[in-house]
Amino acid sequence: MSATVPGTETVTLQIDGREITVPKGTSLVVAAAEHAGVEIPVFCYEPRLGPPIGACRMCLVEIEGAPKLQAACTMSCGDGMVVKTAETSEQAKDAQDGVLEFMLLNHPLDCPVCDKGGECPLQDLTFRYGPGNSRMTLPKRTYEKPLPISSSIVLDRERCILCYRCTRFSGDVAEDGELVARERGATSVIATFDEQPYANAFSGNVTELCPVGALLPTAYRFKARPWEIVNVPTTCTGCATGCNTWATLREGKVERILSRNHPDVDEGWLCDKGRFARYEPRDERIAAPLHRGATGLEPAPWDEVLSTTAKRLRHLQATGDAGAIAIVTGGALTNEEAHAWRAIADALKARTASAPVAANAAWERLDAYAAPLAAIDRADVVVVIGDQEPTDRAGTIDLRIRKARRAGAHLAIVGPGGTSLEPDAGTFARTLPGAGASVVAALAAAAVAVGGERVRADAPTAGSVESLAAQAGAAEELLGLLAAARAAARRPGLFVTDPVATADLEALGWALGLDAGDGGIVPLPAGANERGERAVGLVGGWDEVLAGLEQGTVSGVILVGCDTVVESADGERWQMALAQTDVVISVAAFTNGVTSQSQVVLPLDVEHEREGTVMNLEGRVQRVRPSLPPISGVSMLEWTARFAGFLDVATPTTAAKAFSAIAASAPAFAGLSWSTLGERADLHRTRPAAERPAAPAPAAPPAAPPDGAFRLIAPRPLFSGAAVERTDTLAHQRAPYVVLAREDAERLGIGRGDEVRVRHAAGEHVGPARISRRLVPGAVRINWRGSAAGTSATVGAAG
Amino acid sequence: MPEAPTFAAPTESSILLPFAGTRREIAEYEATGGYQSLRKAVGMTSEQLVDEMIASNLRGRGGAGFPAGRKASFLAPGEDRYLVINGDESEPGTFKDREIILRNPHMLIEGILIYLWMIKGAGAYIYIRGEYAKEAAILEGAIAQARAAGYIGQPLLGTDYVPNVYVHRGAGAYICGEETALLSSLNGERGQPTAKPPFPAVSGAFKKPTLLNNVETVATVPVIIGMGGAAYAGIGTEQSTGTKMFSLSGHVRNPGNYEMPLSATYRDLIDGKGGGLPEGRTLKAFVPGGSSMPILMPNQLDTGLAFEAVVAAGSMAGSGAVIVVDDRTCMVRFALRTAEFYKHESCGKCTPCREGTRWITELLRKLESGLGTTEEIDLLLNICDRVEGNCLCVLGDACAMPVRSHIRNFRDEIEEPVRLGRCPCPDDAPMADLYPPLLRAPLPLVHAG
Repeated sequence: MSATVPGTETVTLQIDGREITVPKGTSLVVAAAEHAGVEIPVFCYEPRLGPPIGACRMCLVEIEGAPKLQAACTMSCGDGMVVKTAETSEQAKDAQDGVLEFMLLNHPLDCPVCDKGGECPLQDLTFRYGPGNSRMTLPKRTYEKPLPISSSIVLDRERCILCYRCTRFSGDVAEDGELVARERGATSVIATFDEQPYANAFSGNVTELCPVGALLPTAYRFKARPWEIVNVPTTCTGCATGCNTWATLREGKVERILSRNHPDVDEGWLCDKGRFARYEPRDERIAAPLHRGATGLEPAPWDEVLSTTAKRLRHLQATGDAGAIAIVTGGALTNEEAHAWRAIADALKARTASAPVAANAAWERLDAYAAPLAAIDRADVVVVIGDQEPTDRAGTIDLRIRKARRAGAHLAIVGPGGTSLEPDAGTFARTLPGAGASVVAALAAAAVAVGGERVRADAPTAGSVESLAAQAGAAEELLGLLAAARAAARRPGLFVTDPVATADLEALGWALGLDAGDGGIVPLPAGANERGERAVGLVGGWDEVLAGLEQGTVSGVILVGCDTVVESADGERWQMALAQTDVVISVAAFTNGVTSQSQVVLPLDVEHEREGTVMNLEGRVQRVRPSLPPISGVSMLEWTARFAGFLDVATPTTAAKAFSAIAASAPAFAGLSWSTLGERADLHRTRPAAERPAAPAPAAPPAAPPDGAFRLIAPRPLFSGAAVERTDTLAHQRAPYVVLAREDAERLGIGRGDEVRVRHAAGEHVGPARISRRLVPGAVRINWRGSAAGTSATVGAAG
Repeated sequence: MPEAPTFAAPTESSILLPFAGTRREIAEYEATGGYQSLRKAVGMTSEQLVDEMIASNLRGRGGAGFPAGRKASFLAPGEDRYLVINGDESEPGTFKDREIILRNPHMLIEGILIYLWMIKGAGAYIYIRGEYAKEAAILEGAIAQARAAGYIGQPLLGTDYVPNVYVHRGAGAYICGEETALLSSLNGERGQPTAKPPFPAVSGAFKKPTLLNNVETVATVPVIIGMGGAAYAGIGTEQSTGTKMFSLSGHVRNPGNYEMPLSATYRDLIDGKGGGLPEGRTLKAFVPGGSSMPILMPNQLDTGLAFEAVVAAGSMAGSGAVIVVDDRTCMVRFALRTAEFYKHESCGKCTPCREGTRWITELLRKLESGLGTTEEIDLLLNICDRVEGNCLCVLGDACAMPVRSHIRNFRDEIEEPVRLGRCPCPDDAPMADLYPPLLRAPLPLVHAG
């Protein structure tokens, strides 16, 4: 065999008489499958869960010279090894029959009513390798079943074959330790720690890892049989990660979401939002055009609504200044839909806004320093900056950060604390809430001041570094870490979750030389396709539009797939501003904070109803495919084309045509074609050369709270949004909580689990207290359904 | 209250415990030459000490009989290396480590210190069986005395090496006597075996290179250093050198621990030290090395105690727990009791052990109750074959080997309940009380969650 990479050490061995040469250290299971074309069946082996454990014993093979059979999963290929699998070894075959018989001894014969039936590894391997009958003559072991381990997952202990995949996921991948094995021997069972619900944000992955029907998603139980479903390959649009998924379609309904492993994006993991959240019930959806009449919002024919709206907007455009109309989006559109809205914006000379804050919107400028998601795996230093957990903006990135840390990367967290990553972080630099920008500015300044690789003429003075660093807490300590990493030619990665000015990040990337090598900056956008919307030209920040509305320079606004009242930290101002605006048009899936202020409301197509592409946070363009018809029967591409027609412009009515138009005009799509995007999209981006950025503007320190008030940390949580709020099985994931610093809790006499009420500008939040030793005192962290911020929250015991 | 003199008198060949009673006080121990081997060892290099161990040809006393010197030479290099002493003595019939700790704890401490010096270990952990509360307290006391005397927690005998020794109590799991399970437990994880590699010599306690030895092995080291490896190798047989503690129990006049040169035979132990069986009873079988080993028959009584001799006889010397079985014993119940233990102690990690030990036990219980069939006896043999050698660790083997040997050696007797419809043994037969008459009724085999 010559298919080996030159320079890597290889070993030559024989499996079932076939000689193969593989890289040293290859697992025997993998070598057999990939190089010798021999299947060695497995149950517990799953490389994504860490080192093999050799528990199920399904992969026993005979190795010449070994005194007994060996588990192939825990064996590395050795030079000269002669391996006989069950295919050629009587002894291995007998052991394999034995293992399957043992597994099935107490496994119920309920395949006909088991949801796993038909797509069950145990069933498949029993058919392929099993002895065909059982010699078990005694009554089977029974357990109470099914046991809900959360509102999303049920456990059937009788079906469990104790492969420990789920507990290894919980312990070694998500690192929550919530799923455990209890008791021992034949009475071993899977359980949740202390009988608490399995509430990890990634819990649903265990339902896919489970090789039997023991862990099943509640929502999919008794819903479908594998032969009556169609799995549609698509991309999750729950956040900007862009995890690849299968949508399981049965009789016109998406019943289930499965991961479709893209190693460079999601590694086969999904968060529970992506897996379980549904825009249901469909009959509560806005399914037709509505316009405000005498009795409120009333359905009206498409053409009537679109033509009237076009006329009104034309009138506004004619009477106002350029930019009197604003089209506001929030990453909910496909690139093709965004392209249509760009054309409409041009026709109306409208301004656009696609991200909450303009200053951090131009993340494309960071492309010279950008790192792909997969680079996290190889990072030596991982720095997370911001108030928010990365999970909240890009679900599965959390698992990648943990994986990097387990592999030896130094994890540094810079933020106010109270998140789940700090306990295992090598460095935790505590800052005030909202200090992300100061941190980055201080780091950039300090990097220059201590003689970073690229000293600028306008280097700040030592004094300004000190004051910036003081605002930022332990920035200098962090900088030392980064400098050491650079010096050792290693690869730092930076993850930014806060609204941080692009210019500051650019300055930092420049000062640290992050444009060279494998590492870099990974900004985490707020909207799922925020980056794609910008790439087709919907640029600008909500904050600019809000200011325009308040100043009266914007008199008409179209809000497409974004609820700025809930999703913006300035929700209250949005509400007041929209109430005074002449023309408010919204496109929404459900009635929400902005539809109630709109004169016209149009139906929004959501995931599984759209054909097109989206761009993830790396810039990877991926396909989304429809499983269902558009909610109104007319797709957004079709009705925007009609609307554009009333404005005398033409837009494509199909995604393929729209994509061609985008590829021809938008640089980020150059060279891409609709037909070659494929199911596992590559990242088609090249790093532009870094240019010396302008000096960062001094960041304003976060304002001090009034006496007795708390600084509020309420970034939009992962488990929020219209779909999450309507999904019953996610009830436990969105259950409110309040995180208080230990000092504050003691002062207020609040104990762990006590109900706490937090009043803030956007509303009132009541939940059980979590006490954090790391959260900065004087701050309170809540999982508010929207975005909120401020320095005047009040905290007190509820009741 | 004075301690009852429950310990056997020393024999002429005793070198581990050559005295009656106890020597728990450090003064007593030092007065009889204690801690002199440590002084000698501190004058030697690590390589010299390993060579001395190799010269002694000491084989591990925990059960597997792996040469202790070679094991020490395998320890991976590293800054932090640990010594772990396996005191989780849980194999039914084995109580020798307990005797060493009760009677001569400082001998173990001295052995630990010699080992620590040899590997310049970052620390030593004595993992002691949870039920050994008194023994753990005695060890704690001995460590405190050794600390006060300047052997622990401060530079050792004028060197700059500081040894530290800790006692860690188990929580009642037999499996934690298995080295990887012991280390998992010590590391704060669930007490279950892990796949090797990585071997403890590379990644053990706290994921650092770790040397793991049985209590008796470590306690023997001061003797070896004191008398010299070559002299030690002169005792016993060529392949099994020195003396070893044997725990003699069952139907024998004088049960107890006996230190025997490994050149002796089971007859020397059972008839000689043990005084033979009680009046009127005859030998039916004996367990040569702990309940997990295949039994030997009366005509094998002249088998040597040496590791290689027991293997030649078709069993294994194991931990040196010899259980004498007399003619009144019901072999069905004996097999059932043995299987029941291993089923109870199976950790549940790997399939053949978890499911196999339970199946074996339930089939034996069905057989004992008179409801079994001869086909099920053949099935039992086949299950044993499919468990043995196919598990993650040897606990499954520990259940399969004795059950198979009981059936093979006593097939007629095992089949008797099938023929009679009930176990033929009188209710006062040994082990009858283990399974009270309720088992005559259909068995409650269904376990609710």
